[in-house]
Amino acid sequence: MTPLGWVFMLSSVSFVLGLTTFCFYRVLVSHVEPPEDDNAPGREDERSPSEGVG
Amino acid sequence: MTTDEIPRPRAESEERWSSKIGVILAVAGSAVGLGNFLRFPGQAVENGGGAFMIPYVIALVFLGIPIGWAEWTMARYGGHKGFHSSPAVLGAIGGGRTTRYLGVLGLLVPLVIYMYYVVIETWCMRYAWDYLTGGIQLGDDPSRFSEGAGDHFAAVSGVRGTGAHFLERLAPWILVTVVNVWFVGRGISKGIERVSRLGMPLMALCACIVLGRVLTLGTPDPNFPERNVLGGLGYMWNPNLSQLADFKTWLAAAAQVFFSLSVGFGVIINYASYLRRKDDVVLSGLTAASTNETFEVVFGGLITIPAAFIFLGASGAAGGTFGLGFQTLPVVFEHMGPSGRFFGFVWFLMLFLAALTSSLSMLQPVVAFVCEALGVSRARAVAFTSAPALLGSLWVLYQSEDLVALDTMDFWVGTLGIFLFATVQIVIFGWIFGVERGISEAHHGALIRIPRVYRYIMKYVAPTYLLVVLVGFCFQSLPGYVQAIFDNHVVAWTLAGLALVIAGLLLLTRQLEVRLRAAGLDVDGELDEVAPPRRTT
Repeated sequence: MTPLGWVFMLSSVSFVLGLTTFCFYRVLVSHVEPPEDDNAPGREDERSPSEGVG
Repeated sequence: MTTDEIPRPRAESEERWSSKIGVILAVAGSAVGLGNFLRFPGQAVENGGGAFMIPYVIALVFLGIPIGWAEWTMARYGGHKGFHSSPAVLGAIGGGRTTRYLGVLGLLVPLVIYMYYVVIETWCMRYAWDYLTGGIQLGDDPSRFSEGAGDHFAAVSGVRGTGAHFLERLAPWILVTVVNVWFVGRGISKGIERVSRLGMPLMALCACIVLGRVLTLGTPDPNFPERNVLGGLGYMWNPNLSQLADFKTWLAAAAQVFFSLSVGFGVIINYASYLRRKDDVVLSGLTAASTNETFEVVFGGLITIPAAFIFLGASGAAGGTFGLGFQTLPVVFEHMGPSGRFFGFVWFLMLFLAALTSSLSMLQPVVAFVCEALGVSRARAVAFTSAPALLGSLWVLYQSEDLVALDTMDFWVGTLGIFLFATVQIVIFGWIFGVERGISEAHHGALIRIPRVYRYIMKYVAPTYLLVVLVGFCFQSLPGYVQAIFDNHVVAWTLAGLALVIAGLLLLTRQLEVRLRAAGLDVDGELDEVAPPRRTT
């Protein structure tokens, strides 16, 4: 295993694991809304694009 | 007409995912398959080792993730109008008959891939069962382990002759088929979601067990001191940067990302149509993709090739997907001694679960389509869908010599079909639906935002990238497969069968259009429910 091999392996694994951890963290901590009828008046545009968390 | 007044069909519209995690795991479960564990490491070793990751990550960022986002977004949009099948969703998105009929590709791909995938799934189950019961014996002479593994694979797959070991292979195939049909028949949340919620963590556990064993193998044979864990990892990951100058490396990386993520598969466009309008699609799409990448890069990249190298050296760590998975790895497990039987069982159980969560996802889009087109119950739609699926699968099971039928379906539909459908989808999203409107729709309920640069990537880069890959792939592989039509009658009959399937799907799409129009639905997407694009920062 060469030093460059280590670099490629560790950076690839870290990138993938980091991305997955970030994604699942954001999914799990996101506000869980109770199931409602999404056709109910006033619900449709409750969250606008500008409200997205980024 | 307002959103509230738009009529929606009943039956399938009442289906919903029970949780956000459920749909993410179901999409990831559909994507994670044998390719993650067997195809990826083989491709990496052949195309520059660690250096392969450079074009791989570029393809992931510029091709896989944006097309995935487009699919999730279009599906949720169509689902909100009450559509769950690829033709209905793309008809509404693309605003007409042409895109509706192009949507047939989103049914053809999963249906035909199911036909051969369930056969491979049967092999995985047979291997897991054989390891559990001691039914796999490679002999006492280590020099003849490979021969024994080849014989076992021939018995399980029938690769050495048409119909070889047919009755012996039929019983497990029936069992696997019944399992698939039963779970799909139970519906989205009670069937597919439950299997994915249980199967995905179990798959990860199995992978961790095998990975833990591989990384602690040390140097099992003192006669070959270079064959150790670090040697195995080096064989997989040491970069050959000169390979980056070869177009084939970039082509292989793009194809691997593409097939692995299951974009253009016809699955996401059905699965995400069961989301509510306020449900997030951006983070969900990214999470499903990253989950798939974890199985591919971490487990696929650290288990298969290093394990084979440690016991068999560089020559043993080569081979295609089936050779590596079903012939090389059994030899590796045999070299592990008594514990090899346990690790062999865990490994093939994991492959079986990966195949099961994928095969379930392949029946579902067609079942939803039949429900919509004929207005029948889910149970009847499952029966209706199962008939051609089982006939096609039986054809693959019987025409087992050199796996010609399987290979033909895999190339024409499982490879070219996926490329074509993904191209169709990204062009419809970026150029017909409109990229600004599409991203605005994606941001509805989004938990993270799509970076602005993706407007250009989705409109220009991804379609161009895809077309270059498609042309390169055709240039590389098409001539041989076209010649095979004239040289091999099994290939010709297989393609004739596929033509019949296409004809049937086109007829049903015609019926779908008639039925949805009669119900007064927004078939051509003329009633825009999407807010006009807003300037975002």
